[in-house]
Amino acid sequence: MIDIKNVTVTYKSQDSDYVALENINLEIPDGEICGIIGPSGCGKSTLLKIFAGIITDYDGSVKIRGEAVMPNRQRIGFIPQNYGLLPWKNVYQNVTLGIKIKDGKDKISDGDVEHTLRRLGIGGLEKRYPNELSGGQQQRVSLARAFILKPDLLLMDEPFSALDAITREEIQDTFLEAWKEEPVSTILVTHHVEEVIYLASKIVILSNAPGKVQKVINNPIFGMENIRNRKEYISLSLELRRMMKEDWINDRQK
Amino acid sequence: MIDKNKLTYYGYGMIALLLIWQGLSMIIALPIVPAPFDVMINLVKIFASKIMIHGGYSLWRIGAGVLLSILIGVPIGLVMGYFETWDRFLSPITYLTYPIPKIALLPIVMLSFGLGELSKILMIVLIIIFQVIIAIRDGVKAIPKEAYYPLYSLGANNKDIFREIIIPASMPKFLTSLRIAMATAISVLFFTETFGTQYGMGYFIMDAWMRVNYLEMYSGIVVLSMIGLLLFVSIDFIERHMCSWQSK
Ligand SMILES: Nc1ncnc2c1ncn2[C@@H]1O[C@H](COP(=O)(O)OP(=O)(O)OP(=O)(O)O)[C@@H](O)[C@H]1O
Ligand SMILES: [Mg+2]
Repeated sequence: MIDIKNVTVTYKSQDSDYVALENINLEIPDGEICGIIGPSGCGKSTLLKIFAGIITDYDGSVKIRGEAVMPNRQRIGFIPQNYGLLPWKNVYQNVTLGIKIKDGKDKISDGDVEHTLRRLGIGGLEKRYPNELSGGQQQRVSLARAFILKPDLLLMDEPFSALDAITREEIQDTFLEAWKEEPVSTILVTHHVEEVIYLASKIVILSNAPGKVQKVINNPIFGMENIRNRKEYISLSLELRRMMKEDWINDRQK
Repeated sequence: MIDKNKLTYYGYGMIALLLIWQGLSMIIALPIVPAPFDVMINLVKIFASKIMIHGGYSLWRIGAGVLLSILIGVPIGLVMGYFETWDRFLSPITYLTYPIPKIALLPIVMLSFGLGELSKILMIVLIIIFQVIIAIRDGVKAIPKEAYYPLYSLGANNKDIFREIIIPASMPKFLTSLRIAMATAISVLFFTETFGTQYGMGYFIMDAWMRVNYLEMYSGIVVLSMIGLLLFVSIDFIERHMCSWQSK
């Protein structure tokens, strides 16, 4: 379980401090996909960076299975919003970076790499460098790197944002399939309402400036067959939109 | 394909240079500017018997100087770039000593370390090392902090971070600095070889001049230029292999 208690993050700039997240309380059970949704700038990436061990200066406590966040103890697969590929490494080297650091070079299985890349529709690009790839291809390399690591905790920051609608659905399905085989605890950040309903069993709505937990919803239709064609899917997305809008209007009146 | 093309252009450049040289020698028509063909003949004739040993000495001195600069300069630059405290201590020293014209230190170096090999190599180190340190330091500082995030989230240690991020990211700036420093280093090498030694291209060229043997003098200049070219090409080669991610 991931246990977040009273977390407040303040960015300190030269002249002013900015509170990005205020008093966040959340519990995410193991093996769940938790979707975090909220308006741009509300602190979603900030929250993810705490779990990834990148932001270490914050108030409150974050525990992963009872332990503080320590990336050298936990196995974290992180897909940053900007993909986080290293320009000087080709696709193969980028994808295997996680295993190389966590387990050592000899634990890399080329078969695994090939299989994962092919599943994500970027097979055969092993030798290319990131600046020779399209944005969507780069994003999938970043996905491949996180998937192949077989993490205990998967952190995804807008992981499908650069993909066209069709590819996006394909990759979402690929992810869900893989997750069903091995349900890894996942935190998925997105501003896409339909995406969060399709992929997350638990939906957290953050409100803006400073980011606070507005609502936590247990997704009633998660995991059902053919979700995208169901009536509940549409009504739930309307409902979510309404909740988010309400919050925005409240915000502006303040 | 691209390489072949490039090579052709280098061929054209070489021919153009030789033509200009030929033209000059015909216009001036004095023994002080011999024709390139005569120089080539002479070079082939005396290379093995007379020049090779001098070329070897020069190459060894500059090679040792460059290697030593890299061995000392790269780690200093890396820690200055990555660790703020090191930078605070070392930056003032680097900045205060950087503008001193190193060639002016030659008398001091020679007085302290003698007229032998060590002084000559040290002079080259003095020229190159500052450029290496500063280029690497700036290269490391220019790495955006986001580049480190994937490694932080993997719990990477400092060794991993240096190997996966810092060294490859600062490599292009390092090689550029080396290329720039190399030209100065060769001039300084020439200069130091005119003192206290019987070997080296500097000695050979000056000696040929004293003996008014212009053909030999020009042969020496050609060989020294070739040494420079060789070093440049090696740096290009390394760059193409280690920084191929950049150019495309
Ligand atoms: N390093 C920083 N220094 C100062 N302020 C920052 C910094 N990083 C983010 N912020 C601010 O904190 C707030 C939250 O940023 P964050 O990146 O977490 O938003 P987000 O919810 O991920 O937005 P988006 O959906 O656009 O990606 C923003 O207002 C942003 O301007
Ligand atoms: Mg974000």
